Amino acid sequence: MLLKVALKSLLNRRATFCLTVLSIAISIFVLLGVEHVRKEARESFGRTVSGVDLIVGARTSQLNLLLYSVFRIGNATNNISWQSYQTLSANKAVAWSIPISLGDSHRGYRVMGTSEHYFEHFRFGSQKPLEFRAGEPFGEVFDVVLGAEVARSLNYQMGQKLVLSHGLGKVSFTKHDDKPFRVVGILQSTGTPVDQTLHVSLAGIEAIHVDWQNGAQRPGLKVSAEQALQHDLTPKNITAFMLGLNSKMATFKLQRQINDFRKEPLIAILPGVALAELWQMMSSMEKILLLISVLVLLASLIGMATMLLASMRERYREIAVLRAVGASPWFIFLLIELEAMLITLAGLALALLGLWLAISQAQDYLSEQYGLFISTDFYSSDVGVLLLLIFASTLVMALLPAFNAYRRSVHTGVNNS
Amino acid sequence: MVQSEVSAQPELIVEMKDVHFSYLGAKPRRNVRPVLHIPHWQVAAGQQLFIQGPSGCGKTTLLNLLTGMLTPDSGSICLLNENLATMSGHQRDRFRARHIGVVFQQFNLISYLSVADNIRLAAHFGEPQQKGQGKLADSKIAALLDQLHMPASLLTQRADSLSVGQQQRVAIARALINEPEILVVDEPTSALDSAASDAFMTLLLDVSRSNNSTLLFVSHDQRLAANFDKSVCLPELNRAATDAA
Repeated sequence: MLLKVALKSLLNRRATFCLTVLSIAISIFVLLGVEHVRKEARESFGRTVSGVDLIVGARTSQLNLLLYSVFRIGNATNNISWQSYQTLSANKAVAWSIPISLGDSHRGYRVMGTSEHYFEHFRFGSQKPLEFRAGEPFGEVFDVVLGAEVARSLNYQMGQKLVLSHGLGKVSFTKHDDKPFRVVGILQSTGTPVDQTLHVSLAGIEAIHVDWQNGAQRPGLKVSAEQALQHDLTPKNITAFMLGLNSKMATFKLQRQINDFRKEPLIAILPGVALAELWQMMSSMEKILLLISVLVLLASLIGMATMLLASMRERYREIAVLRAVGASPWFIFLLIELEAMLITLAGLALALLGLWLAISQAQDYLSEQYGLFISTDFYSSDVGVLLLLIFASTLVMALLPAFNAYRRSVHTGVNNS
Repeated sequence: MVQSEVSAQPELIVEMKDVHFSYLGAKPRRNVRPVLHIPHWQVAAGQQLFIQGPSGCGKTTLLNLLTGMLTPDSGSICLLNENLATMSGHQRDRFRARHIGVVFQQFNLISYLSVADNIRLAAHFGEPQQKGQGKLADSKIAALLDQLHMPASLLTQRADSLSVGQQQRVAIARALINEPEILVVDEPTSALDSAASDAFMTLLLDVSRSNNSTLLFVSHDQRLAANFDKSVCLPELNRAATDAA
């Protein structure tokens, strides 16, 4: 009966009810959205690379190296000579190494030059290897292996020819259109930036730049694809490389050796440590965002309390009637609290629906632009705690109008005119 | 505990003894004007009593005391041989729900509920937690509306879509749904024109008699007294004014 009265009473004040629900929904949307994206971003970053003990690049900050080598965010400051790579990967402690050469793109997707070791040793998530949905690793110089998302969104099939562009812009005017690549493999979806990447061999990267010098094509010196194959295609430079070690114990020792490498200024990072540094930098930002969203929620809850309090004036008679038929002041109190809970519940439902819609819409964009993979699965124990807190603060905020109604119902006699 | 089941109709429905009431509470203070002082007053079972008094003589206070909304500073108010003055607030609410039906001057119904829900609400508070109570109440509601010459089609309408006269009749049905021993009615005809008022009075008296409820009818309008077996003048009952003089 209580529930029925509360529902009908809210529906009776449809306009204020809807507006209040909307304001609560928006604030819960913001709060859950911030919390969800924060957590998913961490998880998405965390699962991008696993099993790699060290990442080595030209000397820069460890975050920069991590971001461009693994997440394809930002750019390298300098290259590493092929010779240094050869020397370091021949170290006794090293089990395997993956060279990475970045700098070209295809319709906004980055191209990564690497070796066949990449498909063998790279791990993501919980030590999951890369798998092929179709085809196999590149064998020829002009072969390319597509990430799942690249193949899907550009609708590329096996055997199709495509042209790489110089630089990273989505629209590039300098294309390597004289040397097209053939799709020989398409990877399974991983939920990491691998999906957004085109993989070619280091020789392929070298071949398309044979007739280039200092970042531009040498005028009058065009070399055809066939001619390029005749050149020595051993790379002179690479951007970075990943190392897997025989024993984890050697990690710090090798890291120091690389950092002290005489021939070239290099830096070796542990991916986990670099990620931790990233989160540390982000955490104050996250806290501010969380604080703002909590304040927004608080404002909405105060708005709701104001709405309920304002409605008390017109509900004076209603309270007298309820009292006359034998409702205790507590019934009136609970009625107001229940109305507040129903408003929050409706707001929550709306917020979850909105969040689900928003994320399913933004998923592709986020993964393409930022390499962030946000799932639509919100529920976690943290969110559960958050929801409990939202309901608890609803109850607390509704105390004011509920007590107002309670007091009024004690003092209201049977006279309601 | 409240003895909720009163086995035999008690001789006296209402008995007030030495009731003092003022809105500032029992503590003796200067300039506290007592609103009500009733040395002794009783009403026998089955009576239809007209309580007359001009405005400001304590009618509303008397109604609030009789329905247990207010408690006296001192003295006892026994309804059905149970003393309201010593009950807890919750017990008084329960007692009111079960044994007293109330009809106001106006605005008796919760506007956003249907007619049926308004009456069910009273039934809910009168006999809570009984299985199958809903259906029983519904058949009682239909019977009451019929008694009050109202079509059953009104049941599903929102209370505020009814005319004032219809609302007042629904209020009677609402007040009688729990078969209360006492029916307290406060100027129910003040919002009605005289024809509607006469019809309403006849209906009220009939229905309260056939339901065996003792009727306490409060009004300032002396003309209505003719309809009742007995009438009492509140200023004569209430000694507060004479005490002060």
